[in-house]
Amino acid sequence: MIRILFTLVSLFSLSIVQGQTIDFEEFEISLDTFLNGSDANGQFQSQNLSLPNNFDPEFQSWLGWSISSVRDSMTPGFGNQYAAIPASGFEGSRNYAVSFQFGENGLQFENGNSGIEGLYVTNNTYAYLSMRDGDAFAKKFGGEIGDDPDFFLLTVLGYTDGEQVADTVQFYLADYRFEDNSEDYLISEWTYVDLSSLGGIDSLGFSLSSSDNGQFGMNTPAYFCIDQITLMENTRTTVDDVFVKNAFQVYPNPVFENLSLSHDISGEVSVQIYNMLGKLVYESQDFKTKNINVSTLESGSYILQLFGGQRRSSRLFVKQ
Amino acid sequence: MDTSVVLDEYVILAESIRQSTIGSLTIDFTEEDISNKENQDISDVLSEEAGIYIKGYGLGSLSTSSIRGGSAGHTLVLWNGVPLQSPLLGLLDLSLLSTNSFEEIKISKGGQSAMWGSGAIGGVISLKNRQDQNDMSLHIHSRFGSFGQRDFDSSIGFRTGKFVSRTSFNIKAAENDFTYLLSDGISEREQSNAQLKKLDLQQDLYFTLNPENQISIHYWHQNTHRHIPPTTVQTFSEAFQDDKAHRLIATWQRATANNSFQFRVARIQEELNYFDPSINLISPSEFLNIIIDTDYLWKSAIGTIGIGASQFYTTANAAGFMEDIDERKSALFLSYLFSTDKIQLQTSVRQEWLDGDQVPFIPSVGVNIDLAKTWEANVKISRNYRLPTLNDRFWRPGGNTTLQAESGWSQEASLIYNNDDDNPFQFSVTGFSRQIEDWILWALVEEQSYFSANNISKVWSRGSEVRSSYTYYFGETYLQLKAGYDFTKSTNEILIDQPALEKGEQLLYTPLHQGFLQAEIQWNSFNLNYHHRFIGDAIGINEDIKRFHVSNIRLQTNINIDQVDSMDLKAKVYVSIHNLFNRNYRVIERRPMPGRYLSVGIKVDLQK
Repeated sequence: MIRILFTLVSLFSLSIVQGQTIDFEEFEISLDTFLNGSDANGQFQSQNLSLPNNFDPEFQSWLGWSISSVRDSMTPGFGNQYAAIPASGFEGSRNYAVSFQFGENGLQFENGNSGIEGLYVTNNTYAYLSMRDGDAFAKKFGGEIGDDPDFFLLTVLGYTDGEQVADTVQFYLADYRFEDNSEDYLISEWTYVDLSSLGGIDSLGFSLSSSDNGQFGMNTPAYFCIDQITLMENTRTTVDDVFVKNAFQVYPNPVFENLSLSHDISGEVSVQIYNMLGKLVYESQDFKTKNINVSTLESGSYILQLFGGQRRSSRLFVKQ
Repeated sequence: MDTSVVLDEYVILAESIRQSTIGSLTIDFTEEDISNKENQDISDVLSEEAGIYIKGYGLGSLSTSSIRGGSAGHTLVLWNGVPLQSPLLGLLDLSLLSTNSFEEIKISKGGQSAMWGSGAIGGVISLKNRQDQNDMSLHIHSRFGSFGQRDFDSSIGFRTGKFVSRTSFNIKAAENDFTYLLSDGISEREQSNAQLKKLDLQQDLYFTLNPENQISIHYWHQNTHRHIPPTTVQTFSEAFQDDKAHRLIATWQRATANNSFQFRVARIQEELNYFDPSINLISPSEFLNIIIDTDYLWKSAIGTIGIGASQFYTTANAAGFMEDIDERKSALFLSYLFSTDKIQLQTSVRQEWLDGDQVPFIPSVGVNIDLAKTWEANVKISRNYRLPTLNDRFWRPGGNTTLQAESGWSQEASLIYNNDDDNPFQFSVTGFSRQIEDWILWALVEEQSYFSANNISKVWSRGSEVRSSYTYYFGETYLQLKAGYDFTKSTNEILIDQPALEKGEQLLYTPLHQGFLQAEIQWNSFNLNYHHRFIGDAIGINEDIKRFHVSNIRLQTNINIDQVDSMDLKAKVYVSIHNLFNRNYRVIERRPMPGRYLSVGIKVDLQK
């Protein structure tokens, strides 16, 4: 089965612009400590990036983002919730940001449309060890005999003036869906995620989903870590941006039966459709007709990904 | 109802009117019934013979009960009339109770809050110690089984004049390292970190002042060290838990022909300390309950009147509390019992106060009617409630000090046929319905980073229970057949987002169907008992739990040796095969249960 690790290292963004980077190193914290919002600021500010934080002083708990320099890749459990699995920031740096949120976690750019080239992502130690070994609440990925097609998926959404852009980026923090179990993996290093396909945006949303869910929601600890965010320069846009904004459309949306594609790629293109759990539900390697019969899909939201002419883009559509 | 029974000059039983269960079905295990069992967990007895659904996490692990679709906190457990529930959790781990610790076990299904207060919604399990009537007795019971199970139980009792004493000692240990099948039905895994050690020490003292007055003292120490095994989807576990309890009850009973009085003081001190070295977690908790309880019963020409009061002082601490928690509860109850040859009617009311605030006023009325020589009908309507636990109120984060008590109405009716001829036949059918408002659930409320306790659900439980028993005698030999079936529909009546509960959805871990079949043959000194249990499909937190069948078989032989130095010597030897057909099943998802396993034991009783 073909697996696409979206955006791991983008082959499709033709114009990588080395813009401003945010690495959280300006936060003056000692090694193996963290800022969890207990100062009640409601956010962390790093250059023009705002990281929301919701700290509950009564229960000393938090949601949103924390800034951490904790270097513990060994200790399982909630008590190690501020650690990244590489035991450092990107390339051995001191600081990084930790996300913990039940729903969607956000990042805002204060100066309007910045756009983001990409960032480095890795697993939080608590979540990583929980997926590797299981704990009292969450399962060991792969299940009892190692064959369960488990995954821990980070979906990145872009927003402009509060409106979500069509493209989304998916990154598997863990993927155990391979037929060959030896290919199953947990992300343990800082890994680049290309977000340039989101274009010029002013905020980001991060959403986690897992194959391990119960009546009380997701069992996998809802944590991940980021570092080394590279912003786009405002005057530059990527080729992908042009493609995203003008040249690629899917319609009608919502769709009942036939989904039409409009694009300007002259050569061969391939199309893949994923459901919101990241499962590939449709694939065509040599796509020519510009029409897809989606009547067999279940109702719900899907992501269509188009590859061709050294370009790639995604569109969200709803099947009714 | 016999309100007081003077068995001999040394034994006084001043029963409280609260022991009366007019309108309800009860299941009684006498001292003889219990002595005919191997030393099992109470949970095994409840599931096998009372048809109560036991939510067990595996051999030696936590067991709680669900009676008529109620939660674990809806079963009240009494020891000699004193509630044993942890005020922090609102429940008692039934796997820590062994049958040999008691001389009487009585299970009353249905709401009993008017008699016993908070938590008696689904039913009441009453455990009692009874005064030994022998001048001297010695009991030794040793049991060995698969997975390193060792169990040694002994007691010695004597009577000197008006003073009676019994000292009991039980030590139990197990490795519980059974092998279980994984989800592919082929691969196997050995259970790890499941070992346990448990010590019970009991001292019962009875001092009969005169034929009308008796003072009794019961002391019970428990010390359990058990490891918490990994789930089936967990690589390893290093967690363990220590439970310690010191329980003391002193009772003064006064009984005359028409009056009965009891005054009881109890001190229940328990610790539950949970450790998980792998995640650097230490979670200690402890509580102290002081209970002062009195009731008076008066028999008159117009009926029997009972009146009583209870006072609870609770101090508790836990890792999740900011400070020590003190709680006071006060309760008054009044009950009236009217009885003729054909009808028994009991009506009761109870008012309780928690830290000075009134909790729901609780009325109850029950009727037993003799319809004919062999037919009887029972009807009961009662209001019942459960106060939020200390964890519900004070645990940080998520505790909610504004929680209301869960409360609601229960209705039940039974029709009983009892043909007590040479070959007795009994049959009963019961229908029940119960609506509980303000059901407490830990839920994720918007904009909170933690689950919190909320009065957000409403639960409607209804169903039916059928029981039948037939005994056929061939001289001294007999064959007894018992069968039971329970249909329990217990549904959430309010749509809830997280936990994800649809309106009308069956509660978690509550099977719609369960039943049992038991056959017992007594031939000369041999007793062969086969028990088959069926539990239907249930919904678990993470995945559905498939229906399963489990069978146990036991062969026992009695060896009676008359008069050894003027003492009666009796011995019993038994062998049991549990899960006879080696079924692979789970009661809770991700928690394995053992396949076929064996236990053998010998009991020796010396009495004078």
